Amino acid sequence: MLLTLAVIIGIPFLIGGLALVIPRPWNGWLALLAPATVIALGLPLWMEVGGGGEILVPLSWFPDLGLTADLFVNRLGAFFVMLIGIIGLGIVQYSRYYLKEDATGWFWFLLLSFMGSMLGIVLADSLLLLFVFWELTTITSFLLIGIDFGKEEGRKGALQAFLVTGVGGLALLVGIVLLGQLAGTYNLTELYAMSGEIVADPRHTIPLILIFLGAFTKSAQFPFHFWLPGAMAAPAPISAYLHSATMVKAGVFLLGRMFPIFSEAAIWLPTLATIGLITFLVAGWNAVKSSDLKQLLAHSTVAYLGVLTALYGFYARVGLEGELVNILNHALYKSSLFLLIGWMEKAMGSRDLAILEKERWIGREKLGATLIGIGAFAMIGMPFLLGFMAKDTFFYAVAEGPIEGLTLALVITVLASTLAVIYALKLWAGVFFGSEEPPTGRGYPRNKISIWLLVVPALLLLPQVVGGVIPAWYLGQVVEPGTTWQGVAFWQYLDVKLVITLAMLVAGYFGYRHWRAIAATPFLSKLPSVQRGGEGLVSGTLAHASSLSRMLQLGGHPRYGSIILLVAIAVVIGGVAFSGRTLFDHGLVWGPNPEFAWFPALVVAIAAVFTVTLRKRIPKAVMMAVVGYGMAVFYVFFRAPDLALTQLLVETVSVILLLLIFRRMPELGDDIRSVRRRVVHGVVAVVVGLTMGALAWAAGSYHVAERAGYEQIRLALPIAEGRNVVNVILVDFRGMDTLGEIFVLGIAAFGAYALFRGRRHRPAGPEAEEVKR
Amino acid sequence: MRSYILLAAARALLPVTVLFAIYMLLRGHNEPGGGFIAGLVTTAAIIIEGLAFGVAHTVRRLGRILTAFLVIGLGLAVLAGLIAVAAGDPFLTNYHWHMPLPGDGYVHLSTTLIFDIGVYLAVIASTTVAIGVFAGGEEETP
Repeated sequence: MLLTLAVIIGIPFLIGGLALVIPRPWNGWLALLAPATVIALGLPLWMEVGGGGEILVPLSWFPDLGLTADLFVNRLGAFFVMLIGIIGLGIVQYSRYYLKEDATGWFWFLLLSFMGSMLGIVLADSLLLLFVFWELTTITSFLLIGIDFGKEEGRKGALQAFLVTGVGGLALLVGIVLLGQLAGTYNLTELYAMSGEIVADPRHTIPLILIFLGAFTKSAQFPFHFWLPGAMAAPAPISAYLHSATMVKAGVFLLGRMFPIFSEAAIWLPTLATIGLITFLVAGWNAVKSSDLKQLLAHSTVAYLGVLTALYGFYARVGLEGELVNILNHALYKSSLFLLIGWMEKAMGSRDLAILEKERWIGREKLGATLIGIGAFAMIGMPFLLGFMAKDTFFYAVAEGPIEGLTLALVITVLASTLAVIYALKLWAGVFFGSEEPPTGRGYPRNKISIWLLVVPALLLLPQVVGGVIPAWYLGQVVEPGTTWQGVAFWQYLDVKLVITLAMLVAGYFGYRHWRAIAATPFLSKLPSVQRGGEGLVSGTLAHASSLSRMLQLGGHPRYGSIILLVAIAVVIGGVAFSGRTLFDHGLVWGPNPEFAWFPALVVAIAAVFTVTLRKRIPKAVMMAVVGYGMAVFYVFFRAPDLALTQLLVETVSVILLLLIFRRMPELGDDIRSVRRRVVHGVVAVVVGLTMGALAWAAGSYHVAERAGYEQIRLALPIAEGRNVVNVILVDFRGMDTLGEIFVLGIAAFGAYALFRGRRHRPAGPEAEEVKR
Repeated sequence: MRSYILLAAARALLPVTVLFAIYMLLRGHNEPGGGFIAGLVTTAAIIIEGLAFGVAHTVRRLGRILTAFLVIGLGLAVLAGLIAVAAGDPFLTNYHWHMPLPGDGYVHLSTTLIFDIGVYLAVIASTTVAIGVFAGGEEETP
């Protein structure tokens, strides 16, 4: 089982990596393999746990810290695996034909890494593991949204999404840690078992609010909803994937994961219901105002995410019935609509309603127009579609049983649903209404557009129809096996919900007829725009960041060096002062005392004096190297050949590095510092030098019963089978540290490379100005 | 200025030094040496190559390999850790094998060796890339 789950998470990353090196037509084919494997391995999982039950796969991570990387599959997790896999397969196939030569290795790498990260989120049992994958989706989605980084729109949208979801991610981390400290475990399965205790402790509110923040930013809930429409700069398949089945659903998924722990919490229902319904209403209103159909879809996505959030609130009252149906409904129709809008842009040459509503496209593009019509109907929740069932469970959850403020919730729901009808009809209008003959030649010619651009959305809409026509079988057997689904088809609901639906449809139709007038209502259009506020927040953050760096980045190296050294020294002196002891409690003992140690010491001291006093750069560097080589001699005395070797080599390489840099720098010339600065620099140097010297001496003369090193010397051979203890420590005992270090090395080299390249190839023209800004 | 002594020496120096570095790398678990030291030795050899034949020439000849080393090195180090995860142990748990040779001897293989090779490659790559960055852009040694 571990292998299955590891392959599900790992294969997208693996194939993504391969796609970087495999040339173009082949990497697209290869990319198909990732979601196909996920589906093939996910299906048995779904069969096993779809009706209930769970699989827990223990996997140790840092056992000493009590951290695990346990994986966990239950109904919700397996459902998401299938969703990510199936929609992913559609997206990959669509991308191959939509992006054509733009589908580079980099694109596949990002898309598949994103897929793998999502799968990691839905399969993690340890909340910290979940968080790692959560942040991975933040990073990969940032790069995906901004994949067209030549366009300012793309960069801006990506940055907005990144800042909002990134801040939310930090909140989530704090929330997870607090929850973990509160409960004593980071594992979901263990947290589920103790949900009663957690909720009984009043301190659970703070972690819960922080986790909510994480979920709300990711799922673009009010007031964080502004990033999602901005993220629409990405090409159609990316938008379709991120905003239907994956990225934004991660927030909803997190709520689903938290539900068993916190559903009894006092703030659970009110918070989720309020935020969710407000989002539903506000985003619905924005969608009604949009003329760009892709923006309309973006806002409607936010609206539906509001519905899903509110539903998790109401589930605390009515139980989890309809959980998966609603998620599935949205994923199916929204992904296919995004893909169809992508097709529309190519086939009709526009996605602007102001143009499209005058033209009668149904005559020419029968299949595409019909599919968009079905998608829009699913959005409204018309009968014979899965959307109907989903909407019904939503109304049921809102209207069932008394809660405080129920009437208000119901009113908002009806109002927002009416808005949904309006914007769905606007989508319809783009293809079905209008009287003019559509122009030819505005889009691509038909033979240039692959039929896959329609086949993929059609296949994704198919379950919508199946689910609507035979709901009892479909929902009971396929979507939620093991449950008996109440209600067979739409005509059974001759109750208040039907009345609501009819009222909503009629109001929506009239609303649609006058949507421009409604959108322009003076009172409503003057409402303070959160959109603008959000954008202001993001640009304000950036401005603040740059002013802060200007504040800190004043002055040259002497200042930075002094600050860093003095802080380090202050920590040392402070530490010693507070410990209540002195450095020389153990007397002034000189360690191993070779008679001839004075000689290298003298050489080091003389070279140090020359390093300071010489007025040419290159001799300075050479003298500094002499200091270093002298140090190496001491390592030999202390019988540390590894250290000596390393010291010699580092010294050699850094001298060469310094010489290379100095070739580019002007001669030093005379010392032009003022006397005051010289004194300050001198004092800093002397204080730092004396403190470090005293510290080194004290460390050498400090004898404890058993030094930390003895343990490692003793264990090196029996455990690590190595006689060179230094190497054993590096590669085995402290392997994690070494791993971190070589990554730092790599990043540093990368940084130097990027900085230098940036200086040489600074782009010219207006683009350069923008980059600098 | 072109030094023929340096040129002649450099031609022979790189392979010999790299061989020595690999020797240092392999014996590192028991004797002084190891990936970090071996990496620095190799870097020194590459620098001599650069000084003798010109940085541009060296970058042209070795640049691609060296940048690839960075990825391969980091990848190997992570891989060495992941082997343990695949076997169900914590990340970076190490395993040792003694592969018997004809006669009495054996070869000591371990995941730490993979890790150390990763360190070796990453060190070469990052130091030479940093140095190449500072050395580059200058006119080639004639």
